[in-house]
Amino acid sequence: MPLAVAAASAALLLAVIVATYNRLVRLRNGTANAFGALDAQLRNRFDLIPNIVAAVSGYVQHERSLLESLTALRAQALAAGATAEKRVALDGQVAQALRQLVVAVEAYPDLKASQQFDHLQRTLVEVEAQIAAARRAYNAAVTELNNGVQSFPAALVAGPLGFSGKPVLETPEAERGRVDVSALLAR
Amino acid sequence: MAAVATVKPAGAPAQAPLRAWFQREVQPFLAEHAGAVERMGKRGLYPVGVLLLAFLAAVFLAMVERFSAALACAGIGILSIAVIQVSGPLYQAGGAAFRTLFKQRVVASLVARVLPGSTYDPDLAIARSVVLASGLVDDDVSYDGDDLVRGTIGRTPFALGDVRAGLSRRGQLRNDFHGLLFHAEFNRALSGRTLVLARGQAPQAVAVNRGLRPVTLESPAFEAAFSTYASDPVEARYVLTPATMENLVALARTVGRPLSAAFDRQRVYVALDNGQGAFEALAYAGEKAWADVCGYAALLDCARAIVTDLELNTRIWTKGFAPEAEAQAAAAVQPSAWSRVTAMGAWAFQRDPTLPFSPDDRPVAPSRTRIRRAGGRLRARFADPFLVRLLVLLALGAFLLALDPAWWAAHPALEIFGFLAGAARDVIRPAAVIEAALLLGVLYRTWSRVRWVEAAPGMVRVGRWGLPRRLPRERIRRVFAAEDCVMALVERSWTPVALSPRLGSHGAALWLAAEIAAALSGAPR
Repeated sequence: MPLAVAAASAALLLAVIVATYNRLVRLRNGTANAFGALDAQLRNRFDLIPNIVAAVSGYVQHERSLLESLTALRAQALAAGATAEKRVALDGQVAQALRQLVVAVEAYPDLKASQQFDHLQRTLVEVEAQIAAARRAYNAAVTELNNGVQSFPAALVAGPLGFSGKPVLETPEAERGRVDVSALLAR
Repeated sequence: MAAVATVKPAGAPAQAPLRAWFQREVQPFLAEHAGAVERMGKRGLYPVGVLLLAFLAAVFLAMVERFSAALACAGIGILSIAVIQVSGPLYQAGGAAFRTLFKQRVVASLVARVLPGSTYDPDLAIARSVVLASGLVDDDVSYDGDDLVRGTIGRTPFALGDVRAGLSRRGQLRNDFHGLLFHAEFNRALSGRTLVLARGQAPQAVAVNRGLRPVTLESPAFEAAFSTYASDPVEARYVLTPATMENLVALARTVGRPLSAAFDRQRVYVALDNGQGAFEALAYAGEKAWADVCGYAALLDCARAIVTDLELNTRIWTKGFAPEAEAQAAAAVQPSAWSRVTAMGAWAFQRDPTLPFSPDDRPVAPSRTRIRRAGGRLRARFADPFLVRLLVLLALGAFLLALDPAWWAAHPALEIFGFLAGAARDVIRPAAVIEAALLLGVLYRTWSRVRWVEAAPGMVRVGRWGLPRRLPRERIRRVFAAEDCVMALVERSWTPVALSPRLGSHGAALWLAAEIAAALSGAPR
């Protein structure tokens, strides 16, 4: 009798561990999937940069450094061996450079009136919105994973089984402050 | 009739101009007509009340074994049924006529004030295909709609209509939605579908909702108010930005009714479950009517609130505006159940699919009616089946009671009739009550039935048992066909006057109504 009880308890414990393991695998895969979706949107934006540079370079004579910076960032992001993490890390710099470019374009009415640039601008807005959505989806997946790894009783087995939490994507400190539009327009 | 008086969206129509319009135009209209309509409605309900009370009393008395009294109550109920059969169609037609006038005068004017530039059609509805495409109602339901408002808010064309989706064909209650449906072109290109439902609701099991999975969003207030389902969680967050979530929560709180939204490739749909029809005619005036009119204005203003809260006028994405798609969507309407009959000059007061006629019947001369014309006059005499039934009933009753029991015993082949006669004798008083009620009912219907109608230039005469009734032309507002009856709407009354009995087909009523109207006006036929 005691042997049967022990065997049943062991079987129950094993079932709980297996169920916890499977759940954590699902959460980790969900996080990876969300990260992949974010990476796809970041690639979309990087792919826009050559079109933007080509459309703008004939007009904006004084923003050469900005255009060169964008091109260099793109090259870094899409270089052979560049990881998705690197692209995410470059995301903040690319977003800032693009914002500066959009503000700079205000001084070039001919460029603003260009249909090609208008379409590019709309596409950029769309991609930015989709990147924001993908970041939120990734953070939601990471939060779910972290909850799964840190809550009891999964926390007892997560470490030994090789699961750990991940950090959520945060806005860089430099971008959290209020945007000084006057300073941007004065450049 | 209670409207959604709690709906007060931000930016609701300014109260002062609305109040001034109400005092100037609506209050006099309701003061003139609502009293008459209310009295007509009450008169129509009295026999219904008597029937219900008589039925309940009969059941109660039978349970306490007071059978004589129970039979007496049953007799009263039988009489009430006869009264309802005679007067019910008249009151229903009168109510339908007032409804039409109210919507054309009051609601149309309200739409012009709250949503300037919009069109209002009380007899058009959002197409069933659009309602099903929203995925917010089951596809196995009967659908009816009216009160279609179409217009443009800012740069966003929209349509808003009263929608009722009820029982399924198999008689099982699957979905009972009665409220407003708003749809417009969405300002962003989507590849999937996102559904926002009131908290705790699940998506309807329809094809457009296949593959949707629950999505948990970051806003606790939004999660407390709504359940979100989407084909793509990233696209759901693309649609439901933090600002949009906040606005939807505020809108739902202001409206105070269950609110659902659907976003698919082309359009956005927002459903507001009002629990009852919107923009229905008011049969009263005063402050209560003002509160209801405010509720109607707030419902209309929901369209503006939806466009604002969902930022549909913001067109900074690649989709821009698609006028061809919007024109196609605006054309996706269908006539309401009212429209076909009003277009043919008749008011239907029943939408029962089991009726042996339909609003599409073509005019045809009525059968069992003698039509005579002479010198511009028209005279129609209708066959009277009730008289025959009355005489047969009287004769049968007298025959059964008159024969001596010994005669029945001598004719065993007629045993059943002998049994009936014996039973009648044994319980003569209670049976007489029922038979008397039946006889009185038949008498009433026979007395009320129109036997003939005569139309001449300048007047119409209606003949029943007793003195005929004369209606001068200046008192008659309109002669119309309502289902299979011909009626006339007269001045100072919303209760029409029957100009014919039930003719058995809507086509016959149409034909006769046209003939009477032509004779009344003196036009050649």
